[in-house]
Amino acid sequence: MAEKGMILRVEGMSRYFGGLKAVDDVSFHVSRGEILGLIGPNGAGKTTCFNVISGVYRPTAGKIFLEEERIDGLPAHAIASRGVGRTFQIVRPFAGMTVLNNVMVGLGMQRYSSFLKSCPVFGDSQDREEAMAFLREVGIEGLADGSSSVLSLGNLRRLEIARALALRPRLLLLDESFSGLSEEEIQQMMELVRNIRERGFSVLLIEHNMRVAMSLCHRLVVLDHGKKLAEGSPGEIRTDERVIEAYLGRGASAHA
Amino acid sequence: MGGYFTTVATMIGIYALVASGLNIIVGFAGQISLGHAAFFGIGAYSTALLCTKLGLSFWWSLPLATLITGLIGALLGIPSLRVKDDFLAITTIGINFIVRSIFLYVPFFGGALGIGGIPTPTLLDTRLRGEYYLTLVLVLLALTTWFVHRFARSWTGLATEAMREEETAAGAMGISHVRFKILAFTIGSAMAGLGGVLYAHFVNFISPDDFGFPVSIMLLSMVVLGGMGKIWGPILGAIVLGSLPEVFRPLVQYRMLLYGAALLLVIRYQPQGILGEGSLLRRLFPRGRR
Ligand SMILES: Nc1ncnc2c1ncn2[C@@H]1O[C@H](COP(=O)(O)OP(=O)(O)OP(=O)(O)O)[C@@H](O)[C@H]1O
Ligand SMILES: [Mg+2]
Repeated sequence: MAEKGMILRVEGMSRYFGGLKAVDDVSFHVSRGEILGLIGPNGAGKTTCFNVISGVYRPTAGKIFLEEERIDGLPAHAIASRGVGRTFQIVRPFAGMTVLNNVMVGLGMQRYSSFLKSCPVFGDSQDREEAMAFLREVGIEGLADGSSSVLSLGNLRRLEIARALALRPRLLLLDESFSGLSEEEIQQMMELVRNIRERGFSVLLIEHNMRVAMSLCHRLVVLDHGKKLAEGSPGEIRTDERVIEAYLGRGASAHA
Repeated sequence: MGGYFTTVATMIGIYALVASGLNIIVGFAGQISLGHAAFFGIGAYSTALLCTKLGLSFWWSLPLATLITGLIGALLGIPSLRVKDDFLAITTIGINFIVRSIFLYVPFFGGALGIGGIPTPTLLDTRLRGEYYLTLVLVLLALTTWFVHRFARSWTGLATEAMREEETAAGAMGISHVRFKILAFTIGSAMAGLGGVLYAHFVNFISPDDFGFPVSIMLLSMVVLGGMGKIWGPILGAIVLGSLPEVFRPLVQYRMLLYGAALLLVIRYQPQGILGEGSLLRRLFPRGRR
C-alpha cells in the first residue's frame, strides 16, 4: 500500500531496551533514487533504527514496508535477500578472508536460501570479475587478494560498501561511512555515494558530520532521544529551532 | 608386528575421519563442541543395533547409521542457536554425558557390558580384516576428505566461514545462521557417525566408555593441534596424537597428560595449529594456497 515511488516506509517504529526507549514511535520514508539522511546527537537512536530496519532487532512496535511488502520482524538474512544492503558503524569485516572473498560472500546472496544453489564451487573467473567490479567501484581493487584484517579504517568502510553493493540492493543503509576518515577520504567517499545514487540505488545514511549530511542528502530526518524531531530539506533543517536546540543545548544562540 | 601397525593405523584413520567432522563444526562454523564423542558413539551404537538386532549387513548399515547420526546431530545442534562460546562448550559436554548415560543405563543399549558380536564386514566373500579393513577406512577417509575440500570451496562453505568470522555481518549478506549452523552440526555429526560405524565393526564390541568425555577432548585436541578450519589439520592431528601414545608405550596411563602437554605447546607456540597461517611448517614449506 506504499505510495508509488517509495522504497522504504517506516510507520510508528519503536524499539525499547528494557525501560530505555531507544527508538520511540518514528515514521519516515525513503523515495526511489533519494539520499535520505538520518541525523541526531549521540545516542539519539539512529543505529538502532538501522538495526530494526535490517532485522538485527525486532521492533517493539510499528510497521516497516519495503515497497509493498511488510518486512518488520523478519530475520536479518530474509531482509537482506529482499534487497536491503547495509554497512556497520563499527566495521564488521570477515577478517579471516581476503578482501575479494568478503565481496564474494555478498555476491552469493541469492544462493544461500537454496541447498542446491549453494552447492557449486564459488569464485570462478566470472565471480571474480563481478567481485572485482565492486572493488573497483569503491576504489580498492588493488587490495583484492590481501587479507581484510590489515585494511585501514577508510578502506574497511569502502569494503563494507562494496560488500553491500554486491547484494544489488534496492536500498542501501550506510551507518557513518564518513566517520574516522581524513578530509581527502571524505571527499572521495562523497563522490562514491553520489555515484551509487546515480546508478539508481536509494540510500539511507546516518551522518554526524553536518557539512557532509547537508551537501549530500536530498532530505534529512532528525532524531533526538529516540523521537523524530524534524524532517525536511537541508535548508529547512539548518534553520529549525528545535534542531539547533537539540544539537547545541537549550538556550544556545541560533548560529549553527 | 604388521598386525600391530595395521591396528594403530586403522584407529588413526577412524579418528582422523571423526576429527574432520568436528573440524566442520569447530573450524569452519566456529561452534565449539566438547561433546563430539557422543556422535561417534551414536554411529557405533546405531550400526551395532542395526546389525545385531535387525540383522542388516554392514553395507546397508553404514549409510543408514551415518544418516541417523546426522539427523540426531541436527537436533542436538539446536542449542548452538541460543548459546555461544563457554555456554555452548558446557552444553555440548552435557550432551556427551547424557548420551553416554543413555548407553550405560538404558538396558536396550546393553548397559555397562555394551554390545558384542558386531560382525566384521565381508566383500566378495572376503572378510575385511587387517590390511583390508585399513584399506576400507583409508578409502572412506579419502572420500570424506574430498568432501570436506569440496565443502570448503562451495558457496555453502563460504557462507559458513562468513558466519564464523562475523555472524551479524553474515546475516546482512543473506546468510541464515540457523541454516548454516544446523547444517554444520549435521555434516560434522554424520562424519562422526560414519567413524563410529567403522569403529564398531573394527573392534566388534563396543561399550559406553569408548565414547566418553575424554574421547571428545582427544578429538578436539586433534583439530586444534593440526589447525582449525584446515582440511588436513585434523588428519595431521590424528596422526600425531594417535601415534604419540604408541611411541611412548610405557606412558600409556598418562595419555591425557600427553594430549594436554601437546595442546599447551601448540597453543603457546603455534596458536593457529601445525598447519595454520604463519605456522612453522608453513614458513618452512610455503605454498600459494590454503
Ligand atoms: N543492544 C542494546 N541494548 C541496550 N541498549 C542499547 C542497545 N543498543 C543501543 N542501545 C541504547 O539505545 C540508545 C540509542 O543508541 P544508538 O546506537 O541507536 O544511537 P546512535 O544515534 O546511533 O548514536 P551514535 O551517534 O553515538 O552512534 C543509546 O542510549 C544506547 O545506549
Ligand atoms: Mg550509531
